[in-house]
Amino acid sequence: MFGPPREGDVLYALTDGVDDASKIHVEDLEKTFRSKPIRLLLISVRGAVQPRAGAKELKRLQDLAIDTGGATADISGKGLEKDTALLDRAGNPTSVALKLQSLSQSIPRLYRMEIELPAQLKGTERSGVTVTGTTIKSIDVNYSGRLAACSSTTAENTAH
Amino acid sequence: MAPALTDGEVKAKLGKEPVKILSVLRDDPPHRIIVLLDSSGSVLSTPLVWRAYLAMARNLVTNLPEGTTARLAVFAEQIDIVIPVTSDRPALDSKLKILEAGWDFSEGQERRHSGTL
Repeated sequence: MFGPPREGDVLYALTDGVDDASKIHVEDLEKTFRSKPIRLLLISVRGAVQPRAGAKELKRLQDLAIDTGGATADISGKGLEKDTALLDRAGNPTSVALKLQSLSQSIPRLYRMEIELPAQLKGTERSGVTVTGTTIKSIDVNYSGRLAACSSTTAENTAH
Repeated sequence: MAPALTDGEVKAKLGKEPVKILSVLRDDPPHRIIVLLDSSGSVLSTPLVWRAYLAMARNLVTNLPEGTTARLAVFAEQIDIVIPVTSDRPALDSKLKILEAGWDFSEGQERRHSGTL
């Protein structure tokens, strides 16, 4: 769509990972992304009735996203059932609707997070950071990414 | 300005161990992005989920910094629709509106919009 990929290009994939009848398979995506300088940012929203469906494919896509230097956000929970109302009887947005609206604005942005690492680290070269956040019951949000190289080290072992 | 995450809204773990979040800052935005929006049956079967995806796609392409080039591609079995994201905001809103209205969720059944964008 843009011609040859360039360093810094980003692809946002908004998908639950379920392969219904796609002509594009995960294997093809893995080959493509591993040979191109494109970061994959994967955002998945899954209803309660199908959190298991496509779980394996979604995990592969999430791993791929992290391998490209990207990140993932996974939104799921009972609050996303088919009959969940977006408006209450008075016609006002429900708490779930408001939360989804807020998430839709904040999640797709890119963030740089500074964390304090434990003094004693074990096998950190293979560890990933998982960030979770939720401000409403029945909706869970999980973020994941890989630690970038430490930009500074202190007695508290701080990483950026 | 879209709301951003704050360190008070999230918790972090390294492996299984909790770690302290010192700060959460907005990072530099990319200059070229493609937004791939899944419109397959598994997504469309839950209207709330589809609306959440659509809202995220909308927020992504309508809050771009100056100088960012973007495309929004909608796919199911293959890429069905590509919407160039331009600075012509009314035109973009119109195309997104057509996309939103192009699906019929009545009685849990979805129907693909046959029009072009």
